[in-house]
Amino acid sequence: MNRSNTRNIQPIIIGIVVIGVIALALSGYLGTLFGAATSPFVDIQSWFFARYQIIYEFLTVPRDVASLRSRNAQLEEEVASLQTQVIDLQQQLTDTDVLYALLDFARARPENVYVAASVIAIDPNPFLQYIIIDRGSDEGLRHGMPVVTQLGLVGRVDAVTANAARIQLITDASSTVNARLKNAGVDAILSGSVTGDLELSMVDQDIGLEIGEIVLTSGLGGNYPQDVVIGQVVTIRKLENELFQTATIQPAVDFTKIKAVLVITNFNPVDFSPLVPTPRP
Amino acid sequence: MRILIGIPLFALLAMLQTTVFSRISIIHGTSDIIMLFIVAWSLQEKVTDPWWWAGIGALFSSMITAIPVIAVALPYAIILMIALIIRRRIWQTPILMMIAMTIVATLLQHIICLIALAIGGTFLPIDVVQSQITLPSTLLNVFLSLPVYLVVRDLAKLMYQQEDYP
Repeated sequence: MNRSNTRNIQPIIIGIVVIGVIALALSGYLGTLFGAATSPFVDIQSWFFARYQIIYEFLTVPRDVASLRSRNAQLEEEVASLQTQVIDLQQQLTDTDVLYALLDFARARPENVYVAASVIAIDPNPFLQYIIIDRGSDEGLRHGMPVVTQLGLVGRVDAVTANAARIQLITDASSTVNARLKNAGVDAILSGSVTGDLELSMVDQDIGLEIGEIVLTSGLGGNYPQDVVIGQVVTIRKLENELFQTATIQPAVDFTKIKAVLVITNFNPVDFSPLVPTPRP
Repeated sequence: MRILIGIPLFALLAMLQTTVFSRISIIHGTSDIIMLFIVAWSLQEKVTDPWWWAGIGALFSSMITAIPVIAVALPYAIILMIALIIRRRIWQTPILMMIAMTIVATLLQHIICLIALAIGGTFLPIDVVQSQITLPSTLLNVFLSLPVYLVVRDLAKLMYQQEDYP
């Protein structure tokens, strides 16, 4: 009898327990209990997973290294390519800056007609100061035409081929330029030298030369247009026992870094040689 | 055929000379790579056509410089003659001969250049030329003479019979 009563009560107890659990779950109290019960399992699961990841990575590392090396090589190639592009673009930017400066200079002097040219070579002979440019008679260049940059006078065309020209720099030992001191307003002669230094001579002893004074072309002699900047006085040599004083000139143009020039094509140099009197026998 | 190889070779050397070697200087002295090649070529024992190469070298050299052609060609011709005389006698010490010939060639070339410029009306101060151009140029040429000699020697080996060279 007792055994049959117990069997009848069991489903009721189970039902009450289930209902109680559902009630606890619905009321939110079960979460805390469940969390407390599952926490150790989660920790263990995390530990196992972490160890598994370590072992997996250890076993698959060689394959990853190979792929990483390949990827690294690919990226290095891309970096090298991009660096080359950067250098090219920087070079183009520099060239563009130079050309813009030349363009500004040309626009400021609309009376002149210019042909822009790049410097492509330097005369290898150490006694001479010449450069070679990439424009020639095809672009209208002729012997004797003056060559300038935005900074000042460069020289003049010495020889021309169809698509190249040789420029004699004002620093060449055989170059002479009729110059004028801007502030003093007197004429002088500027000569180059074998070392590339510029010397101003034939300046009267009475003239008060000053360091920093600007030297321009005078236009005399018909070889260069007037008022083109040549440079400025850096040292003065004045000896009482000499007729004239001399000065060293710092050229406005840095001839070692010259990249592009402008040739003034509408300036016709005048040849005075037939008018120079020759001594009769 | 061997002569024809000299044309692209000296064209390349002329380009290198005007772009690279003319910018490498000690004080105001620069090296002359074309002259060094001609000297080294003429010192090669089995070379049979050094005059052609000297001619091609002089041609390219005169194209890139404002100095008169005669002042370019004459030193090359004299240097070549000296080298050809020397190589028959003292061919056992070619590297020493290369250095000695480089010094002689540089001095000769500069003397002839100075004379040519003086004839043209440009008189250069000898003391400045000597201290700031000739001596530094000689030094640079001597520095370059050994590598140039080795390159030319290998080139001669390629162009002439291999067994003739040690």
